Amino acid sequence: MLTRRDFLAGGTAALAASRLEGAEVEIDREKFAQQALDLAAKAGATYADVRINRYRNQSLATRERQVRAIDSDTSYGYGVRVLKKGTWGFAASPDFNAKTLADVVRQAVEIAEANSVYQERPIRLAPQKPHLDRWRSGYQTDPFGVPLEKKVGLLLEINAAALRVKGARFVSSRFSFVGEDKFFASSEGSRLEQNIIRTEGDFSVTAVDAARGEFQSRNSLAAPVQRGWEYLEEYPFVAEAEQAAEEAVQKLAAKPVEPGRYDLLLHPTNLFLTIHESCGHPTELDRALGYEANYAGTSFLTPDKLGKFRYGSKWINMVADRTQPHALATVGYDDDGVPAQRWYLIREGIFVDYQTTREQVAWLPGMRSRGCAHADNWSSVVFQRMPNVSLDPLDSKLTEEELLADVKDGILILGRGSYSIDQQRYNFQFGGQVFWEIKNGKKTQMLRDVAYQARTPDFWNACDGVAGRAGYQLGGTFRDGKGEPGQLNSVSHGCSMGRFRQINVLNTGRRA
Amino acid sequence: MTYDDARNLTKKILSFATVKEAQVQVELVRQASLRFARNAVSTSGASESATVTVTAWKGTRKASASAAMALPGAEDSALRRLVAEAEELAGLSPEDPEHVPLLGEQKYLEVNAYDRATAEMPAAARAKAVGDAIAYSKSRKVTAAGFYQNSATTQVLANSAGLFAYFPSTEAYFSLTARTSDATGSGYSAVTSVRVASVDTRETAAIAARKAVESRGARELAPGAYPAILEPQALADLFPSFRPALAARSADEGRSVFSAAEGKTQLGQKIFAPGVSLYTDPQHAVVPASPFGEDGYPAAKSYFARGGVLESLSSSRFWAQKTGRRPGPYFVNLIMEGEGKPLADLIASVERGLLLTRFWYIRSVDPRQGLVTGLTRDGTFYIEKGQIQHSVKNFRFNESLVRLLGEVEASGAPQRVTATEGSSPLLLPPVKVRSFRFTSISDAV
Repeated sequence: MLTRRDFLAGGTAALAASRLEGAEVEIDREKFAQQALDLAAKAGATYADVRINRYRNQSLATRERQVRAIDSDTSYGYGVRVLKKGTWGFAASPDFNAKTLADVVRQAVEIAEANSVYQERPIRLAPQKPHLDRWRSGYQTDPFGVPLEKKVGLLLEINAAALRVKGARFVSSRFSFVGEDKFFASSEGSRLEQNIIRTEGDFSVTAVDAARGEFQSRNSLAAPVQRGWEYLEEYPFVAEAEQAAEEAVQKLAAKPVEPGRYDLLLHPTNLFLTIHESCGHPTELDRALGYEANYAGTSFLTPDKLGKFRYGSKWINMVADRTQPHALATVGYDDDGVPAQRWYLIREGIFVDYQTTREQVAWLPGMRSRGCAHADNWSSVVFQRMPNVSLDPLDSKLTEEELLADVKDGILILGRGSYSIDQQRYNFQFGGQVFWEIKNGKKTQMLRDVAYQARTPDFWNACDGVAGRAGYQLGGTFRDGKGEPGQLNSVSHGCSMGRFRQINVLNTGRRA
Repeated sequence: MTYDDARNLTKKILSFATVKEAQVQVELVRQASLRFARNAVSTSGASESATVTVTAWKGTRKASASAAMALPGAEDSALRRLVAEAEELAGLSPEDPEHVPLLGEQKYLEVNAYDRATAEMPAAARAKAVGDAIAYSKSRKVTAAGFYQNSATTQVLANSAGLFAYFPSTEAYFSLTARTSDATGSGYSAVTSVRVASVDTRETAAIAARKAVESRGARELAPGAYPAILEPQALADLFPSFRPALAARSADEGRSVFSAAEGKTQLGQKIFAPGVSLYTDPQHAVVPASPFGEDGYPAAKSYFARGGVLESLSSSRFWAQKTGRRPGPYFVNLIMEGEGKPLADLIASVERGLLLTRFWYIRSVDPRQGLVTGLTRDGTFYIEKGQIQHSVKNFRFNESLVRLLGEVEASGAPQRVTATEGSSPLLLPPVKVRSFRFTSISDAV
């Protein structure tokens, strides 16, 4: 870690660092941030922070043998957050002009003052030691530097592989790249620079039986990650596209599932989303206390359950982790300036902790900031967002084969399908991409129209086995929504295969 | 940004282009919002951001580049850089076999969707509006959480063939969830308008509080099919996941709920109840919307369904050319005609059924049937002999809006409403349907 002296007074090297290379607007971020903080202090703010962030997005979308769209987007601006009279105010602009900065700070302070009339309890931030640091996510090849021809070439190769399969009629594929260059300065003295790269590759193949007016799709099982271009070269997209096309065709003639109770083997490409919805969201402290009641909802994991509620069986150890390499919500520091951490939310099935920010520490005794403050843009308000939440296999020695061998009448589910959960995170329903019938410990035939429905604690208590670390993999999303106005968060969930006994399965394909 | 500012800016940007075909889009959004929860304010913020998107074609090779800009004072050098980036990306792109030449100058309908007071609402006025709702909620001993946002958006589209389109609009939006202190009741209400003056936060709080109190002590009702009345909010919540089905291309390609066997579609067929008419109209006084669609093609009043018959699906310019249709219609808003019956009359006509007020987390399950799953939320009530008897526990459903529109028996007066997970303006009546299918019970309140 750099010391403050290295950072601020280390001569030209440090000065260059506070300028963002290649940025559309040439500013000295340190100097600009200090001006904002000074203006806020002068206007009576008891705390202020400034985020000067640049976001780069590139996406390439294709269908069949052609490119649909190539889009590149850059957004560079700043947001000023102040606390005055114990109330938040925030304003943001892409205009780095000194006069606009003064207007932005004035507007943030005005908002805090106007709202303070309707404040019940003044906001108190948990103490935080200032940090001076730079952090970069783990990647080898910056995807923004890779030639377009190479990207388009790989996408069209994926499509061609799918279309070679007889019966596969449509295929669409897409790569998306995100680059974030963030600079955080607080009135407490933190100065943090972070550079994050994320990469996503995805495709969908559709097989059509025109005579019957039927169609079936199979999407890629690939997950977005906090890595560079190297990920798209390593992941076997072309081979998977061919397999996906074959499976889409196979699904047209697959056996519709008979509704009932089944033992489920959930592959990590499916289970990650169930973790996200039924553990990631209900362990958010703001939800549990009613702060998201109007939109995302509340949580069944209320504070009275902390430390004693049996959420799942002894196999269930859910770890929150913003330090995990290549996971999407991994950072050096959150948007409160708190260092990234790793902690358990569920331990041997018992609910033991929440996700928190500095502001939330005062809401409930025994809390500390877990570094979950995040805003999805320079123009967005900071609030609590989900860290990577994963099912930790600990030292499980079970293999996927052993889990399978002990299923008499079950279904193996791979991939992310339809997903839905109630606003307190009890009742959920998940689909998938590929479903295999299991009879007496053997994979037999493909099924279709499968969705499983359960009540969160019943589901996790029905888990009687989690495979060992060998099969562990990350799933994730670029687009987890929360808040008003809505914000998106990128987050990963790791797990290995899990076995769940006697879960309710629906047939979603029966026509009325 | 005035009309003249927009004209001058887009003209300047297009003058930097070296390619024959270029298009520029500008979206300027000025918004401010205030959230509250536990009967107190929480986070709040204001921002102004403009995104400029340049699309360049080199022959049929196409690419877009966009950037956040400080407008109106964006430096020429930044604008030039953006045009150059789009041109460079276009040069690297493959040929687009679906390229359609740019549209020239167009005539648009006049739409009045802008209200200055909404664009410029001061922070103190927003705080007071929220404060009034909180004070009312406290007086009813419920806990309120909600959101107030006022925004002004200017959309501009211009191209090198002489097209210029400009659409300023404003929106004021307020929603509130009231929960009872014993955590067994929850009610929701929302209001949206072009004009901040039409947003009555106290009245909205009163509706939510009433629903919260009435929804306490919910009883369990067995899942199954029930006759139901959907309030406009509940009906609206089903629309975002329905939107993809409005595309003509996927229906023609055999992968939509409106596809039929042997490569045909259901266009022209009576697939909804006779009373169902759904249309778009950019000039509608309550839900005014953009007078232009894709590439600046003019939007106009057009029916999606009339008298239960599926009348049109939306074709892109390319698909229209390929299939010999007119481009569009662009469903810039959606309006469902209603019979104007009071909600109380609809309830009175139900022998045994449910009143559904809001839905949540709706996702596509089977696009072949337009089947979605989701849940009821914030007030679900049991009706017997024409009267609300008590609240019932929330349900999960697996249901299709296409099927439901075939089950409509009666409807009320349309109201402007925004889907919980959507943003385009809708004008929908409460509807009575013969049956709504529920698959399980949710313990959530």
